[in-house]
Amino acid sequence: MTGGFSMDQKAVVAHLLESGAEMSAARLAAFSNANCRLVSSSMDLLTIAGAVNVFQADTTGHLGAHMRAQPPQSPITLDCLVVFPSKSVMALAAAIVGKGGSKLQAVPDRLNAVIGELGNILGQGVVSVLADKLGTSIILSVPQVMLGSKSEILSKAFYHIGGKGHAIILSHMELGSENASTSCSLILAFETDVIRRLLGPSRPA
Amino acid sequence: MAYKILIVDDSPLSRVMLREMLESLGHRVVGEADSGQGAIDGFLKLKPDVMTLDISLPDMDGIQVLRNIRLKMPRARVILVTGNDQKKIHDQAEQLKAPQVAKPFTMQALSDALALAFGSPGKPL
Repeated sequence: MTGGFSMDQKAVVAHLLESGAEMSAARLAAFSNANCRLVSSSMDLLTIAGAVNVFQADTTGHLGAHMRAQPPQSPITLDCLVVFPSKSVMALAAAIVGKGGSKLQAVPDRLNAVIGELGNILGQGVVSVLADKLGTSIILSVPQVMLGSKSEILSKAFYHIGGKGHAIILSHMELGSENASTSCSLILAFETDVIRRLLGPSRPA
Repeated sequence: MAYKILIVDDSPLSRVMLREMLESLGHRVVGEADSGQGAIDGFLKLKPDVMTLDISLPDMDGIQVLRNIRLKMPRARVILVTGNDQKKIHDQAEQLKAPQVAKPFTMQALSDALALAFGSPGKPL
């Protein structure tokens, strides 16, 4: 665990993430034309090494969408990674492309484009709630789609961060609809000082 | 009324969906761009009636693009299309008098934003 965070601070983060995840699920439903809903979510605060450890047990194929916010577009640096199991998310992506008609079928690399868009929708919902809470704007970069095991994707996305001075917020979500369901892990990496300053006890929850 | 529209979005998926909806509404898509610089160049070259502009672009953000275009063409009509639902971004868009459409967008939301962008007759942007 990342030391030094109080239970109150963790509760604030958990509440924000849940609000953002619900917003994301509603947007995902609109995008996929499915009655998508957030089935459950959980949150933990970790170091990068801790997150890699959590992910190492699962060696199955995954797809990740990585987005980054950094100055000058955003006053804070933040990495956002959404990781889906390949099998379930490809089925969902194929269903979305299928519903999109012939024009969507003609988009080059369309399944990757759908994965990027799904990651974008999920990440933006959560980041928007955090940005409002922090009283700032956070503009995420264009999503980069990555392939590999969960730990490989995490290492690839966060290689530039290094091991120290960052807090990883790991949220696991189960999204379900009548026809398809998928799980996903949403990982946010902040500079520890930033999150500590912004979620300090003087700020109302 | 049919408008000439420039679509700016890094996602080919979003561009396809926007084109389909805008054409269904009877408008003509005169061009597409996938970057901020492409948006600025395209706007000056194609002189569309209105541009749909994504906030997240690979080289600069949509707010920067909008400010840049407004310096050259103060009355340029721009609709911000964004997955962001952030108060600060909303405030900036309001200051710049740019209607917003949230992703994932609907045809009705696009139609409403177009009506807002053109405003009531004679109302300056």
